[in-house]
Amino acid sequence: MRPRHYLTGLMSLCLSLYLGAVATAQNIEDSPSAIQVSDVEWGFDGTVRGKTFIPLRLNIKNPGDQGRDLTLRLLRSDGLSDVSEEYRQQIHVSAGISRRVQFLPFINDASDPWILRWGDGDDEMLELRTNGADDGVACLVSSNDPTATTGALPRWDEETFPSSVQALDGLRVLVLDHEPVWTRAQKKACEDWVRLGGRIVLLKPTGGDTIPFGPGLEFLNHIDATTPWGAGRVSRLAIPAREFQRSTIERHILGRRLSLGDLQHKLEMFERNGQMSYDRSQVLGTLKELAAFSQRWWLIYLMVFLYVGYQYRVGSRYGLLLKNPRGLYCRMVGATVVASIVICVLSRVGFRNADRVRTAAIARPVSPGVYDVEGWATLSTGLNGGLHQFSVVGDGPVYGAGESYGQSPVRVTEQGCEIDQPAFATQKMAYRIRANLPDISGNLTSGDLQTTLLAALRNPTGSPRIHEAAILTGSSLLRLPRANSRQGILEPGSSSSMADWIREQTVRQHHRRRFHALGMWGSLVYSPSEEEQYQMIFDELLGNAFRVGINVYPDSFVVPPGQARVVLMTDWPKELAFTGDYPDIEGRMLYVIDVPLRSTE
Amino acid sequence: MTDLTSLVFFMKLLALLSHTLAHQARCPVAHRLRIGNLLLMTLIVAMAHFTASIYEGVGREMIRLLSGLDMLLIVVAGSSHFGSVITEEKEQGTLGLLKLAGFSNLGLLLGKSAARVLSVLLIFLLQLPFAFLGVMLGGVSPGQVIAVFLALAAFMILVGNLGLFFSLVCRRNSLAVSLTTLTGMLVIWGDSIIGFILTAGHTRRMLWVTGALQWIESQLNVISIDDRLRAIIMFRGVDILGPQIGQSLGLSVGLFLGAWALFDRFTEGTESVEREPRLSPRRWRLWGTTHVWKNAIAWKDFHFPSGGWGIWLAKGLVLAGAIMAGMAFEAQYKAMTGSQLREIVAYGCVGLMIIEILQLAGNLFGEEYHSGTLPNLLLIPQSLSQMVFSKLWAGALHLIPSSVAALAAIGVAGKEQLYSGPQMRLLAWTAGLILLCHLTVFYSLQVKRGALAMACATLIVAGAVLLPSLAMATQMLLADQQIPRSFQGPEAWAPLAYIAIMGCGGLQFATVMAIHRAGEEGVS
Repeated sequence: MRPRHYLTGLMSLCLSLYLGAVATAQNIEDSPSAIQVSDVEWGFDGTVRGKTFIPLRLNIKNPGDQGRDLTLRLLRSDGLSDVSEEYRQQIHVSAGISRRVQFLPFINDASDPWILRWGDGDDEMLELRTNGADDGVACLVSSNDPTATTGALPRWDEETFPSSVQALDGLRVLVLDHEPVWTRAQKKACEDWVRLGGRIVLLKPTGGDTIPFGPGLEFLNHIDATTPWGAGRVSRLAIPAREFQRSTIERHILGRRLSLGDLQHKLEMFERNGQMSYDRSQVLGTLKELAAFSQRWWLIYLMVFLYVGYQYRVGSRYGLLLKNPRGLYCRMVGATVVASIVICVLSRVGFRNADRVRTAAIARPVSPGVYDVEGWATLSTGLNGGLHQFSVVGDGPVYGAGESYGQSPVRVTEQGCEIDQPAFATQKMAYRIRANLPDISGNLTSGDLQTTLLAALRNPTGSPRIHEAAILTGSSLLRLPRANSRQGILEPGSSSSMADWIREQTVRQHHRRRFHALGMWGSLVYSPSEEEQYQMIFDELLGNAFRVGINVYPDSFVVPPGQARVVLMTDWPKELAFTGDYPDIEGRMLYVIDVPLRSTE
Repeated sequence: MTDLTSLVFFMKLLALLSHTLAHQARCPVAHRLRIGNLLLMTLIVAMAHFTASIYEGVGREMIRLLSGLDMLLIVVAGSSHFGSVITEEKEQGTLGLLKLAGFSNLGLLLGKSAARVLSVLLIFLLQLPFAFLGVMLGGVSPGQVIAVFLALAAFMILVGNLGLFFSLVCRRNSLAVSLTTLTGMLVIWGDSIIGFILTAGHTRRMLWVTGALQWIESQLNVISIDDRLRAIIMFRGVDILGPQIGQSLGLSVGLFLGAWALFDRFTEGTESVEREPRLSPRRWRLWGTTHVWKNAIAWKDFHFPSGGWGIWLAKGLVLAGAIMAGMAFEAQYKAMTGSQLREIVAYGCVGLMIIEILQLAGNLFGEEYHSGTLPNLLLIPQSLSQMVFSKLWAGALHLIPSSVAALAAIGVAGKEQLYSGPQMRLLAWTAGLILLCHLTVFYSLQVKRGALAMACATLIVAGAVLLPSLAMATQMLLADQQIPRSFQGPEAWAPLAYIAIMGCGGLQFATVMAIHRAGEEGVS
């Protein structure tokens, strides 16, 4: 037998072994006497957030006939190996008994996997998956009304309520409809937590109007909905627990969480007031999903197989059988050129706009500088807190995972500083264009700044044209309204307003999902316009800048008192016409400028 | 009349080129290579399909993978292909025959070098529609795709002409290929290496060296294909025709003209050059070759290709000296440069050991196969396994100085100083090295030259495309199963061990079959 045949046989054997291994793969089953871990609950609502202490509760069951002393070890993993971060707890579990155990780990990154070990054996461990929430709102109801459905809010056992304020780090709102039976430490933790910014919602108790609180929690008797207690607040709602809905908390108490059901309400507020809440993760998540790039994969594979099949046939027929090699090379190169052209044409049919969404970068940790939003990045990293790539045209810090993507014009060497001429020229260009922007460098008041930017925003003849504008201060974000948007500058097609547009896309999304169930044709349904996509990008920028910027890069993000950070999205300047090779794509430039504010007093 | 003369001149000039192209058009191996390349691209598209639901910008990632793979294949496999363009004629003694056939120097160079460059260019050209799929998948523009391929083509032409030049200048194939690979790597990563040296301050007190290195770095920075590809993929504003293309092509033309000018000088007297017998006892005998050991194969392997006790001892002394020097001048070097000499010595020792291991793998049966002594070796009344063990034993003996030195250097420098990453990564590298050795042994019995390059190329392709595809296929097939996703314990190393064991086992089997086939061919 020739080696080639042996190799073929060997490859068949490997494939058979592989498929056999896959086909016979089964769920891992524990031995009857093994320790069983169940009911794993992260945090207060099943989600975790980064940079936070999050309680972890789980049940340990000992199905054996003898009691066991266990050393539980909770380990953080970085995906390849254990990180030297370990939480230990020694417990005794009697025979046939299950026991509730609670850990309080510090979650650095919500995506980090954790492992629970109760022995050194390979079957004495469990990977604990976390469900990350970018800005999760953890609510707690400790109700004595068993009929209360509480609008799907998670309940928390009174007994296991954390007794340290640290453990309440991930809790945003505590909802009570009775006085819980807590220990002194638990009550103290609750009071400290409220002082540090926690919020309590007091509902109408069963058989009364107000909840009388005893020693330890009596401070709750003396404050009303508007009275702060330290940095926190206590609100009273005259509704019983059974009528309480989660959306009530989100809408009236937090005012930050935006669910799809509240979307219309918020958008109406936006239309009415000209500004929008800065945290719009739900909206952005929806937009991200709407803008997801869907390919017609059957078409792609069809093209690929046609091309490969043709090349195979040409090679074997003209190369191996015919004597004239010119035909072979001509046909090969010709097929390559034709296939390339066909694919290029197809890539522009129905895909161009979606492609543009993907070309947009999000300058998340917004620092002063001039950013190229046409550079490549991923929307998901911008939304989910990952790192992204962006280029800085001007100076300013560049963030990245151990890798910087920006080109600094100044290079420090042993002998001194060198100037990288091309980068320096680009920077000079950027500053020159910057000079064409509205003059906001003067000592303006906040109102003057808004007026100046509004005038620039609504002036369609300005150069460069400003498409979006926002002002960030240390405690607020104001997105400037485009009151004349109905006059056609940025109007997204047939939709009369952003609210209409989002409603329309939400409906389309449902249709598209149904189409997806049938095949790949659903991707043909939705194609956002260019301006819509840039709008999304800007929205994400603002949301992420404020939310992630504060959480992840507090030092670099904080806008000092007396200053404002202006974010402008303009046309891509013609002076930086880098898109000469692809003129269809027009970019946007993002300017982030720190300006001093003059006090109005 | 003048036109006719010019036409005849050009026809004669291009005669060898068109002959070679015609031969390659009918060559089944070239056809399989092209189709294999297209199937590989299909696999990359399937990977993009799988990841498209998870990540955005899949097209860009696809182009990044494609261009990185091509770049590595050009420098690893391409160097071997281009670096043997003249030396193979020298070694086979056929260069004189070509000259006698009336080919001019220019015609010879064009026919030998340009044909190879064009055939490889065709392989990469066939990838172009797949690259344009990247535009459809999102994340890259057509201009970027064209810029990537132009940059790669310029780099390949440069490596082709580097190979031509070194192949002309060197007498032996191995030296020409090594120099081509090394220079190709310098073109890719030279600026980064020099940048590292400058940043680490190794030349702080030597200003002229610093100045020279900075000048070289600036030049390499322009011509570096790695930097160019990064720039193209990362920034949309990069020109399609960057300075890298111009410099590479200019350098290529210079190398070609240099080869043309030096052709006669370096090919005179090579018509009858016979391959130097590398197993010549006189070449390596220092001492200790008089008494044959009981294990004659091990004795032969240890003393002749490896150099025997003399080289063994000399190597040990040099390495011991290097380690001692590293310890002695540590403080002085640190004060001067701020970096640790012991680390450099340790890295050097480990690198040397790996090079020796790969060299031994290539020579394990390759030396006998190429010198035609393998059939005679198989006639010795010993089983193949005994022979293999004897050869491995000789190899292990040969490796003692470098491995002991590597261990000592690691001990001196501190293990944590050299490597502090996850244990699994170290295991994966070790498994990769073992697989590379097996592949090298296998290819040394399959190809005339470039076994190591072929092995590296196979491993690169497998690592970049095949293994991720396998992982994705497993994930898709077991989507509804509860798989332990922890990267600890057996769950972590079992797949690695499975792939390594299956790969090594299969390659051992194939190698044994190749040895038997070689023996049978020799007998017949």
